[in-house]
Amino acid sequence: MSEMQLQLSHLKKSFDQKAVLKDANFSFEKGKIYGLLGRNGAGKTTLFNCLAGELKADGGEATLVEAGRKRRLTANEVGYVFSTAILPEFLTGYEFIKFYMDVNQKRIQAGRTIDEYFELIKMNEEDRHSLIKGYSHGMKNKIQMLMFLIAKPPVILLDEPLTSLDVVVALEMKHLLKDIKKDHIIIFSTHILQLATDLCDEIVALSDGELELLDHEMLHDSHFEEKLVKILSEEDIHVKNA
Amino acid sequence: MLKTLKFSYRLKAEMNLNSLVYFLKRVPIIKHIFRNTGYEHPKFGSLLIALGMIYQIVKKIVGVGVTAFFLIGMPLMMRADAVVINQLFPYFLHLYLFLYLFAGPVINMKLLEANRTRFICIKVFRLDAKSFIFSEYITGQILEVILEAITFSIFAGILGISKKAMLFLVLMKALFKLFFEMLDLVWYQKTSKFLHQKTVMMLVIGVILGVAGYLPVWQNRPLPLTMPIMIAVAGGLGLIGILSSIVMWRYPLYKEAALDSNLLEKLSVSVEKTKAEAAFQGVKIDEKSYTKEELNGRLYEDKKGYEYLNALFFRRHRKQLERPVKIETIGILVIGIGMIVALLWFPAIQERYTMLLRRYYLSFVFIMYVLSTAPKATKALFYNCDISLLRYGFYKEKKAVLSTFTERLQNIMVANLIPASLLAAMIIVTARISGMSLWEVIPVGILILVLSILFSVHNLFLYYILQPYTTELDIKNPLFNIVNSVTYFISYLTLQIEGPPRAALFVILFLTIFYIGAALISVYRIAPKTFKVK
Repeated sequence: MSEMQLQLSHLKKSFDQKAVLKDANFSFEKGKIYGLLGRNGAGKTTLFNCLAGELKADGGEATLVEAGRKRRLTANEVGYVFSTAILPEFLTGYEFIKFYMDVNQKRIQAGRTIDEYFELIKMNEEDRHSLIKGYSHGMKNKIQMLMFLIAKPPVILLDEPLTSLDVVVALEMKHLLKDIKKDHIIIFSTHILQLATDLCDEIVALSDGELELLDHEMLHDSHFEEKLVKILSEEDIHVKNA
Repeated sequence: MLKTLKFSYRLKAEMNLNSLVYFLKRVPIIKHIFRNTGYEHPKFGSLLIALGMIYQIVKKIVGVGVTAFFLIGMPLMMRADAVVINQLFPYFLHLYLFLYLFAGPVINMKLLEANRTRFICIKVFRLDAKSFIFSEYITGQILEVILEAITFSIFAGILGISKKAMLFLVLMKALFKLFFEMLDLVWYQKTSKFLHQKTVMMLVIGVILGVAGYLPVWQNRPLPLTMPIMIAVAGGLGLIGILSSIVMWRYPLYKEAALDSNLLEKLSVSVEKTKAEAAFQGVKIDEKSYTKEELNGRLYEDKKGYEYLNALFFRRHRKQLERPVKIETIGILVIGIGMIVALLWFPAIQERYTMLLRRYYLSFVFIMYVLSTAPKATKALFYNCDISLLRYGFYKEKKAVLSTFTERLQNIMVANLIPASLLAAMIIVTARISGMSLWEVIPVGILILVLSILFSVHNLFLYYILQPYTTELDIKNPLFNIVNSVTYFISYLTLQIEGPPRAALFVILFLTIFYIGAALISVYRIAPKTFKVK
């Protein structure tokens, strides 16, 4: 058994009368990247928002199990990478990371300096000292990733993070994710199948408000795509913005 | 044309109904009743159209009534104590001529105005532009004429004017409007641009006509107008309008004009969002205005965490937040020195000045409300800082929320106290020159300072408790709007009322201090739960 798990049990969330998460149960393990697949409106973002404390679930719970001890997952233990990185634009990348390191001081194991961290994500001196307002999408994403390299939250949620990055940055990010996965539980939502099979160790389908692990063998099956589409289209979903 | 009209009213009615449901779902207490109400209204058919029309009419009644009251009614009331009521007649005609007959048609062009229903009907549903624009315009204008006729008959009744003549004036004004609508159309045909979008020009014309209207009335010298003269002028203008309508009817480019004026970027599917973004324009930062030294990472190196963040925030927003304070301070200084000179030079006005100060000291509530830069600061804080950081768990922790609140309150309070202390000092000096005792004027000075603190706390308190903005920058919390309107209303009201006896000043001081205390305690108790992005 691996050392840490994120367990979701009977997680429920509805908007008005529409149940988006009906009864989500799953156990995510440390050291793996999970690809969360689902159709538009299936509730991927809702699930992430519930885990990150952005939304309050109507029922059920998310717990971290470590060395046989169970505790409720708190927002602090979750690193949430948004599809569009949102950072305070009046700061430079360097200033933001300095601020971030200051306020998370207790959670950070001492080690690298700010500049060493920037070396890690291959951001040059000039860019570090420019306002985030002028950063490209890729640069902002790198800063977001750097936050997790620094704070090392046990759970990292990535909401469609690579889809809008150029090929170079996307590849750098993929390598970075693979490098850090041994220390984290990483859940990656996407609807790009290829990205999921390429990067993730396991694929989880979110359909009809429930989570389902796809058979590992299926990933390498030549009919994987057809099978997945069949699973996901069993229920016709109309929920918007879930 | 009737079919087009029915369609557009139905659409408008559905949109209004949806907005109403959306709003009700967010009002405290009431929201529980509407929690399960969906947006899929059953097909009400004609009922929906009727509801839509009633809503439009009520909105218009309020609009026409309030406009007439503020533009003409209130200035007349202010004259009423100086002039006998039946002699107000020329004042009324003067104001009506400049504000309604002249200014109304110019600054209120409606024919090609962009709006959401138009965008949907013409661009999305491809209804015939000419018949759509006409049907909407004509019904709108008929309604306006009826409501103005009713409103101004009331004026006519009070002032002893013939109601028939009044009705004629209202009708002619509506006809004269056609002349400017025609100009807008022709202007578009010649230049591919719209007259009604030339805001600066409209503003200049509006100001000129406004001055021409109000100044003579203020100086008790309105034009010697009589009803026959007015009827002749209005009749002539109406005739011009009728002739213009021929050009309008034959105009070939309605579709092009409608497509061009209802641009998505101007309108956006969400007009509110565009409006909200415009509201945040004033607090945007410009990355090009910073030097390399400013950004090299050595700034405030000794500060840590939230103190560091706030120091940088207020430094990078100097232009947006310090400039208003500087302008206010200089303004107060100039006016204050002017007052000192005037009081010393013309001792005769000293008595009147002290009388005003004793009687209207409550006006400082409104003055301090207007001078407060806190609303701008909270906007900047949200737009440039919190909108992003509130997405991260660490920023929402109790310690973080309270520490940013304290840091920010200090910054905002100090900024507001600079002009406030100067104002207080100026009031004390001018009052002393005019012979008021220190005992009498110092409480007023203290009131100014306390009010300055009050508005700093009040704004930041509302921001932390209600956090009204969403990531899309629209205001999602109706309570915030309600509280803000009430604050404005109360502050405005203080301009109108004479200050109660001096003993009441101490009660007001006490209440203000009590509010500040209560607000601070609530923030420390509740804000960690409420301060988040909606």
